[in-house]
Amino acid sequence: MKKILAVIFLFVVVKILSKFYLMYYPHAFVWQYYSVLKYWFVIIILALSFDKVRNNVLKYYRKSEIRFLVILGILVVGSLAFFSWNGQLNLKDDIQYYETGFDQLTYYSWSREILKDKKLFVEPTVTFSKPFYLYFRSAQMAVFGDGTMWMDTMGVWTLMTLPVLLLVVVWLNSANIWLLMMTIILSVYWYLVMNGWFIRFISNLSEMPAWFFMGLATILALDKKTNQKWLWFLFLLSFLMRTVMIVYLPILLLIIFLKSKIEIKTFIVFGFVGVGLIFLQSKFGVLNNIEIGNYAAQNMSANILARIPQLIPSQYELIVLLLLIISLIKKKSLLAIGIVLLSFALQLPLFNNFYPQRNLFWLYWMLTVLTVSLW
Amino acid sequence: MIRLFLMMLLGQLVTPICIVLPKSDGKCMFSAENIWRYDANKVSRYERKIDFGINNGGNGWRLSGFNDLKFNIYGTDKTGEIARWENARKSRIYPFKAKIALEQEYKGKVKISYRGNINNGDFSKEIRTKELFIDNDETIINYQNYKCADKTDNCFESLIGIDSLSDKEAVLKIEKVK
Repeated sequence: MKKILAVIFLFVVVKILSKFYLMYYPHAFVWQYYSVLKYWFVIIILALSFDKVRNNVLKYYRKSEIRFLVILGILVVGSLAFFSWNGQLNLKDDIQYYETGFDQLTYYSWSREILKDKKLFVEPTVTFSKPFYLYFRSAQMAVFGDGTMWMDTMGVWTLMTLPVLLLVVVWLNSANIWLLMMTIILSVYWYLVMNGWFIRFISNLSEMPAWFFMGLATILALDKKTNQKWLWFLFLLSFLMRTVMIVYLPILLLIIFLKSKIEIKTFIVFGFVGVGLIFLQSKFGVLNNIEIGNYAAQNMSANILARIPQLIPSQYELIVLLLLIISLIKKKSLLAIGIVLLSFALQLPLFNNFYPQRNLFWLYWMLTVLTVSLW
Repeated sequence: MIRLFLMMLLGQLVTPICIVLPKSDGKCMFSAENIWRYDANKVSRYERKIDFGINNGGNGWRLSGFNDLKFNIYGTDKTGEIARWENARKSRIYPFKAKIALEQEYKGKVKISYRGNINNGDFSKEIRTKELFIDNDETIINYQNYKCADKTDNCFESLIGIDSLSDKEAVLKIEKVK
């Protein structure tokens, strides 16, 4: 009962924050499609928050690795075949023409230049903001040719099949009937709201690989047995895709802290490193310039930032405050919820106004943390 | 000849194709499909089968070169070149030329089906067929998916007075005739 109430609470919070967000950014056209991501995150959070689910998946894997991989393979190929037959996935190696003025075209073009002219660097801003992303794209092109088949396939597949995979995972735990029902409903809903254009759009941006690696790190962090070296490696990959991912490091650390026995001393050291970064970011704008990869966004942020008093704490400050409070009182506190929500509310005008998707990813990350602390 | 032998050895009987796009000084479009074999003066990529035009059941032309910042033309000015390129992009009009070098494996008679223009002949929006006898070491087939109103090639760069097929409508298929 407590869990059901908590889930309902999370959904209500999501709804309220959605409305709040739209008040700020009524023209954020991508917003509506992010309902898709919302359910993806909620499903993952729900499924993995249950020890039983995690244990069953691991048990199943350990019992017969080959069988596990074969089933996974069938699911992957099956899903690809289904969505391809359904017309939502283009498996043909034809080229996709990107819209002029969009980041997709810019990144594609630069990645192509790296291959064409055998250049190492193409543009300084992107080297700082996404040091590895263009090489990642170039590598895809080198392997899969001019077509965007791979990107579409992997990106679309990741977004489309996760609910299906999770459905199977939850099915293995059919004792949780309510969870099973909710996953079925959400998977169906997920499918219905899928939009080919949207999926193609985000599958070609750096958000996807960056959050993919960060997501993997978080999921592994939820498992106490995971070697922390893997977490750092995955975080590094995520960071190389988008350097801005460094601001999410405290959240990953919080999960590690909540789920493992990391020493309190180490944790406080991380906290102070975080404070240092925040100081640099908010007072000298160091991170701010690096993180925003285009001038339009930079100008927009500058205008908005100018209207906001410096005294208002940024999301980073609030996150680190939260971490320090938790580390000091050494227990999971409901106070954390208040602080996290408040930080979300305040971070909207302060951080990355131009990318609603990042705010959303961030929101669901926060919800992950909250879910972990609630259970 | 050596190249052909190597290709045969590797089990690849392929045809070199050079695709020329506007704003590229007549150089062949770079294709990521043949990174190491790309030659700006001769080859964009190698094709196993010359069968282009999605509506005709073939493969797409894969004109990746149009995803270049050279064509990132947009703005508030709704007249002149900016407007022409924006409109062309919106209607998926991508004027291009293709040079296909038919080599020895094609020796004999070939049937060419096309929509567009072959070897500076008449421009056709309907599918036409042509038969050609290949008896030299190499025969170049020139294809264009557009025609200029003034019968020059000026419209290729400026888009003024251009009549072009979209990439999906542009058909070219070359088959051996037994």
